[in-house]
Amino acid sequence: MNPPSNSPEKNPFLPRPSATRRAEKLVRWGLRGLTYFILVCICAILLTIAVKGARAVFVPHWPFINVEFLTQAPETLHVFEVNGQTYELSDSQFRATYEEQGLKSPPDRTYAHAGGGIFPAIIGTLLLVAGAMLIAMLLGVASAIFLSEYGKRGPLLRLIRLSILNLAGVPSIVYGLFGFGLFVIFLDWNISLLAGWFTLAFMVLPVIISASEEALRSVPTGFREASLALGSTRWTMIRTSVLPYALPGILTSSILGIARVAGETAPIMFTAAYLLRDQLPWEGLDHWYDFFFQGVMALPYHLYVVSAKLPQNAYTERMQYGTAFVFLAIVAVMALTSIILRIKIRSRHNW
Amino acid sequence: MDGPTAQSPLNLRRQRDPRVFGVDRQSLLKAFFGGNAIVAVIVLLLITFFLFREGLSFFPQYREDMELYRRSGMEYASLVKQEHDRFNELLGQLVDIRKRQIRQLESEGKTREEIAALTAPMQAYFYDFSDLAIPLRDYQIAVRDLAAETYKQARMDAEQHRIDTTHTADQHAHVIDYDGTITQIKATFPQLTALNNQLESDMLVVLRKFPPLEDPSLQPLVKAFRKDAIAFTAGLPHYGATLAEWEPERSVGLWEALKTFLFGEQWIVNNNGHSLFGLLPLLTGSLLVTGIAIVLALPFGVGAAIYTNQMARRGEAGFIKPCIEFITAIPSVVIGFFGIAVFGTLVRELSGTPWLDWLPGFPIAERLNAFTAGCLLALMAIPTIFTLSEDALSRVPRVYTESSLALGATRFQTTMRIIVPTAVSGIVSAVLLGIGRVIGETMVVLLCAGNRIRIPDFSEGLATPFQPVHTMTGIIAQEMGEVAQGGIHYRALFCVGVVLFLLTLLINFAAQKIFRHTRVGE
Amino acid sequence: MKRLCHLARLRALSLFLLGGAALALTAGASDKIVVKGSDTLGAKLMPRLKEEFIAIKKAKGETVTFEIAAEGSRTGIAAIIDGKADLAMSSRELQSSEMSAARAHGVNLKAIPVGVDGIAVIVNKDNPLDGLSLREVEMIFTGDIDDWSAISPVSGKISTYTRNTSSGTYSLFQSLALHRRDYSPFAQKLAGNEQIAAEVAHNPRGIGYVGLAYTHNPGVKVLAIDGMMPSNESYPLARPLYFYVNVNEEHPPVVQEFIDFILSPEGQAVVESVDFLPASRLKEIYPELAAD
Repeated sequence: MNPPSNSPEKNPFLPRPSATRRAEKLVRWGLRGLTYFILVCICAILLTIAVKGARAVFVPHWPFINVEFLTQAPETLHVFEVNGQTYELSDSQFRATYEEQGLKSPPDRTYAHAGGGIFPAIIGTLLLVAGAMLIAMLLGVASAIFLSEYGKRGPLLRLIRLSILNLAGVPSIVYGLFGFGLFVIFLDWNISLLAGWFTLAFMVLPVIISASEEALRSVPTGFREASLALGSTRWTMIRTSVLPYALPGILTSSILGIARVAGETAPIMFTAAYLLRDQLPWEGLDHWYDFFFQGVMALPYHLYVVSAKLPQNAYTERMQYGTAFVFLAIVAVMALTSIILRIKIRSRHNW
Repeated sequence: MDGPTAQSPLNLRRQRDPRVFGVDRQSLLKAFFGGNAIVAVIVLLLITFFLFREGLSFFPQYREDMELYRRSGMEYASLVKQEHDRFNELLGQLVDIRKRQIRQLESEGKTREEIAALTAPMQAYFYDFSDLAIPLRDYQIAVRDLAAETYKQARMDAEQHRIDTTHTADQHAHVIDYDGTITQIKATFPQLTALNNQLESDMLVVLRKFPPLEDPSLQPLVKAFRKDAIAFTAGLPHYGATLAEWEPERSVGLWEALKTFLFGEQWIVNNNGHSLFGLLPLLTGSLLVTGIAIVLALPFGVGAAIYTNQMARRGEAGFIKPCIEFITAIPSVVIGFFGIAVFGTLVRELSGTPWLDWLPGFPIAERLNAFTAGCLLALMAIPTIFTLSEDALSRVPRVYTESSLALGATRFQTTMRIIVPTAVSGIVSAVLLGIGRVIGETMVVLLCAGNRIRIPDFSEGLATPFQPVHTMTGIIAQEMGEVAQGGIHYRALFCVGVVLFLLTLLINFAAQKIFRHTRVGE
Repeated sequence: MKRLCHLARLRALSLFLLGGAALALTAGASDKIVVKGSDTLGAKLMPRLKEEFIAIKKAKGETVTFEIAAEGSRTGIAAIIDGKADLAMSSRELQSSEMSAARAHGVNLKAIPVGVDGIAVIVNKDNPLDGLSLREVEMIFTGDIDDWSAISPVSGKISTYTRNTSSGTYSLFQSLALHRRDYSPFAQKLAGNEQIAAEVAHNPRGIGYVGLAYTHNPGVKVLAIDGMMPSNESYPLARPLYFYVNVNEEHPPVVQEFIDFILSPEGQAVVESVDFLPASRLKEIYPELAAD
């Protein structure tokens, strides 16, 4: 963009410096500053969380990953001083030492939820995402295929499309409200995995339908016509000439949907999430269907709890930033996959 | 499924299609997809329907509650409260005088002990004056308590009625004695008159004892206080008259319930008594936070879009775009956590530095306020605004650019005078969608906005953003977990949900309309 | 009651599960206690009780698991009325509306006092005040006055921090200190005791109330009310803490064991370790309560 740095005397075609040029340059630098300021902000947030979170997730010695943090349930953190040294131990460790050493006095300070790990929350989030996406993809992609391939063009279809597009912008808390009212209370499912699945699924449904439909419609009509002209039925045409080309687009949208499902707190607050649950979802079930009617711990809700209900200090920081870091990492991996996938697909299909 | 024979030219597949109940596979498949689409549409319709059903049934229930409130005589207490509030305003004036006095002494470098000693007469006067209101407060409480039992009974009956509609009404038909309560309350009116007379004479006595103030600049305030206090005493009979004229039998219309919800200035959940559900503090809170977020996000989002699309090199743009798009993926609760753990404290500490004193509202008192939340929400709105504006800019036909350059305009002039104006409708719709995203955001405002349910005091001008606010999304998240199903509070929250729903729908719809309306070159 | 729920849910399940992965899970059933309710109890005391109880059971070779939700007293009582919890934690007594709801559902709630908590009024450590009268507390929290210069030699707007509406502390403070008058609209409603303590510790103009367990936060100072500190027996802002249990419903025996444990000396030691007063002190503070 910048011309080679020849002086104006040598090259008469170079624009002469003027007040306008200087102003333009100033504005250009201003805009550049704005852009990079955004990037700096993101970096600041991500780095703060990554640096402080890494302290919780990684350890300086073998196996370099804090196994306890990733595989245990949250526990109370005990902070106490022995011989002038401050120790932090989570409850189970504390009890073991307690018995071993025959310590008598209870610790000075305890911080609920600040010790142990976040394994149940990770599992809960994964379960919620898997179930919700299954429902949403099943309904969403099939609906999109119908809307784009079978539906007759007309005012009704336009209306449906428009309303779906509009519903995509409805805030997640409204879906949470709906899920709470319908599933938790009206259908009496209680706070449960099932209620969470449906709430989250319905939340991303409009996004998935409209994105999948867009992907389907971006396949050129020529493909369809060629297939039909060769005598294939409508379904064969869809299966062989439309879906394969639309699939990458559908997948990208669905991965983005996953990131959204995993990241939302508001809808699961009253429909699926528990503050603390000892058992993992597959433990202690009386009947197989109980699996669906149990609440789970989830990363976003856990992060809300530890950031709103714990004090900010050196002892609780580990849990707070650790949860944020793991959560962010999981969501970021999903989002990055989708962004990279989209860039690749954009450059591949260019008809 | 179809097998390799599909290549045979003589294969007439339609005949070989398996039929289930006389329906061929093609129709079955179509029915399957159609069925799914119908389910999806029904589900989405159901959401809307359910939301509106729960939300709109708030109004009849609220109307009923307001009527019970009035009939049971609870409203009398709120009338007395008006008098008390007026008194508190006087108290506020007094506090203001003392505040200035303290500030003055502080600037003179006096220590706290010295200030306490020097302002002791004023302090004593304040206690004397505030004690004047004690009989008034006690009367207010007494009236409320007289009515509260009846009100509670009536509420319980209504509740019972709602829970088991199967039972006949006469099962819990102990008649609620509204009239008795009202008579009891009316019997206390002479008390109020006596009390007001006493208050008047006492206040005139106390006013005379106003301690001498050295600072002449406070004299106008003292004068104003005296004048208002005397005006207050003169107006006292008015309160008694209002009380006497009040008709507790008057029924409450649905419109009134609607009005108190939409334009009510108070959202008070009182588990021990009557709750007020007024949308205005939440709505203004939401709008204030959104306003701050958009004012901040607009230059950044659009500026970055212009820069990336028009000025950046290819590689640079390829780096910036995914980076900004990545913000969408950061979960809101993580941003909220960052706000509460780092950003809120940072902003306040920054505001405490002496050389920033000139800024309005600095130093900030509250760590969690609308500005903190607004900044973080701005960050979340940027990717929406950026991506869509960038799209709009790149949709401007090449011909426009080329013609402009051919006429001798510089690149910069082309960008600013041709491309941006052409893309402006796209940018506007991007900003609208950004607003839609921000207004519906929950976790950040719940964690960082400060949760004060009060209409922000806009008289503070540019310092207004530094007040804590509560938002519509925040109130739903904060109070939904506690409510009893079908109760009035539950319905009120659904009603807020409906408002939120309609608001975002409107914004999205407007964005699409604008977007469609002025598409160029396609 | 739970059986009935299962039936209803099964029907709903078969309706809604389109494909439905049949998960044949036959894990050995262990005892489970579902506890919901107050944040005052749930945030600190309940996890400690839980861990202690599990340790005791473990020593006997038995397992027990817990599900805890602590979003406020009202949620706990609502849950127990709906049969969705075994125990409800509450930092206040039942309200009349809850009693009527319980009656309508055929639920008979029994209150088990487990400890006593004082509501401490806290200010920032830089605040020159050491105590307030109850009347001043009322004026501050109802918004009658909104500036510190009214009652102290410093000036500045008072920042009041309260719990949110579902909290038992919120209602109880309203009854004990405010004559049930409405809170000031200036009050900020925060999610938990810890958050109030943290905000007050950060804000030199802040005032709030928290349970006794949260007064050790660095940077906050407990105010004497009418000249009495919370440890004083006649401190005006004390309240009993309850566990509610539905006596009309059959519970697994472990629930009763857990209750017995809480009331045992070991359990009461845990109660004291998180800065509550033991339940035995209830008689001194609320003689009329001990009568029933």
